[in-house]
Amino acid sequence: MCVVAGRQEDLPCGLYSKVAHYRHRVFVEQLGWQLQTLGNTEQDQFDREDTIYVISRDEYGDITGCARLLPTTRPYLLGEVFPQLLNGMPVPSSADVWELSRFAAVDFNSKISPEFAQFSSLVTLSLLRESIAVAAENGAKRIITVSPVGVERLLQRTGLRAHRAGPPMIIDGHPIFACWIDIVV
Amino acid sequence: MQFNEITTADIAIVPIIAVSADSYIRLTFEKFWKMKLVHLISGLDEDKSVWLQKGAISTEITGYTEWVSETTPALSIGWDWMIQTEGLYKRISQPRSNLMLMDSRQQDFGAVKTSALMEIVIDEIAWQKVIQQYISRRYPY
Repeated sequence: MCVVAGRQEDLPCGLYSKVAHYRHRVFVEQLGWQLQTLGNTEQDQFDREDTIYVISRDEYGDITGCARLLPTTRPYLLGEVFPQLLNGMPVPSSADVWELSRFAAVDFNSKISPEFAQFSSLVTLSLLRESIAVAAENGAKRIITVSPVGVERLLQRTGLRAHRAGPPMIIDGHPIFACWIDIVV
Repeated sequence: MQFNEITTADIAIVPIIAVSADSYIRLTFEKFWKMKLVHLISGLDEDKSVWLQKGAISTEITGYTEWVSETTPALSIGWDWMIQTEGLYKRISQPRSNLMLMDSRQQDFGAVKTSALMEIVIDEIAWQKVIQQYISRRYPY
């Protein structure tokens, strides 16, 4: 497994467009999320010049996982779209709080059936830890995520210090939560 | 100006809960024990197929359930379950929550002990029947 992290301009040529296509395969085609799409790619207003991407690839160069990191000092998904997930608490806006979103670790080349539609490979935990490490390198001490049940379960299994921020919203019949992850150095 | 004497009988004791800066709702076990939890939603996981050594496939039905308190802010607790061969629902995960239990000196019990104590409360709730009826209505097949 090879992990690459950086802003769009820092990524190898063509990789970001592959990420957008991968996200479409996972979130739109496989999970059925109602997201902004352009052809067979997925991206939204939070894919900006300061957004950091963490991408895992297999030995063939195919993407096996991705994550998106945003500073909470600028507009981000939870703050703009899902502030009600914070149970009445103010939306965090701090240099030491980053948001993790669009997290997926589906290996479409794997012959092993996925346990959950969002995670199917052994790289899941590695990608999560790499994402947290990249956030920490950029000053994060805590991470906030907007997560479906699957991500919250993953966090519970990893032994990371994580907990939900409040009750879920029900979207298309599925609960989503805001989850905190404490970065322990 | 006339003042009426207020007695303790006139004062309604209203449990006050609040969200801490770290998003936890902190309660003693005694207060948590008295809180009413209501079912919010339950759902099935996609059927999981497990390839056995000889190529046979077995499936197990699993899902999640979410419960909340009738307070603002709200206490939120969820856990995973499976349907056993006898048709009984069994909890198969530790609870996931925004709750942190504390002792009488308001010292946190920590995540591990809080989880263990939540399990005690959860296992006292007749949640299996609630979920069974909900799942039957949500997935009528």
